[in-house]
Amino acid sequence: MTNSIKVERAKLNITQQELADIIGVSRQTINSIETERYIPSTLLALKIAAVFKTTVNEIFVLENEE
Amino acid sequence: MKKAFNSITDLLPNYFKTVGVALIIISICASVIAKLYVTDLTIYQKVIFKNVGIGLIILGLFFVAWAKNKVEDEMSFQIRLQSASNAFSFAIFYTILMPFSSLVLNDGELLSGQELVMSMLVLHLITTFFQS
Repeated sequence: MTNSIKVERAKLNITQQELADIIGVSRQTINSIETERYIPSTLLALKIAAVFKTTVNEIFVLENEE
Repeated sequence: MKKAFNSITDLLPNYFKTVGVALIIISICASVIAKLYVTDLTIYQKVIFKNVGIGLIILGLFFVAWAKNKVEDEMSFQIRLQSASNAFSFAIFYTILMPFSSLVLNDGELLSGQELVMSMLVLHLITTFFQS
């Protein structure tokens, strides 16, 4: 699963730490999600999408083999 | 929506990490000092001191392992669960396999319960550290 959190963050001009503070998780969690080492829960994915004022599908995209 | 992962993790407050580290350091220092400078102990006293020392180290490791991180979230919970699972699996396989290996190697040395618990806690902390 790929995601566009880094791009969305750049659009809003916020750091990983700022995004983490808004959502209430650690910076390491945001970093792990961005680098695709960790797949977030539905709840966290919804919170991330809400911060960027978009839908989960716009941010998280399934790859062909998944 | 309630935080689902919090309902099943009754962890210790974050300051227990400091308490745990302090306990470990104090126990190790006390053991070293006792070994070097205290010589006139009976066997009974030695056994008591050794068990109290190991007990405090285990308690310290437990505090460090089970204290909350500064920010506790679903990823840290998953890492904690994975590490605990690894440590538990290690204990199971050790208990099953080591008696046979000591028969083959003919050394007859097995970890005591205290050493096994300590090994589990150390393994838990190492895997948590490297997965974070």
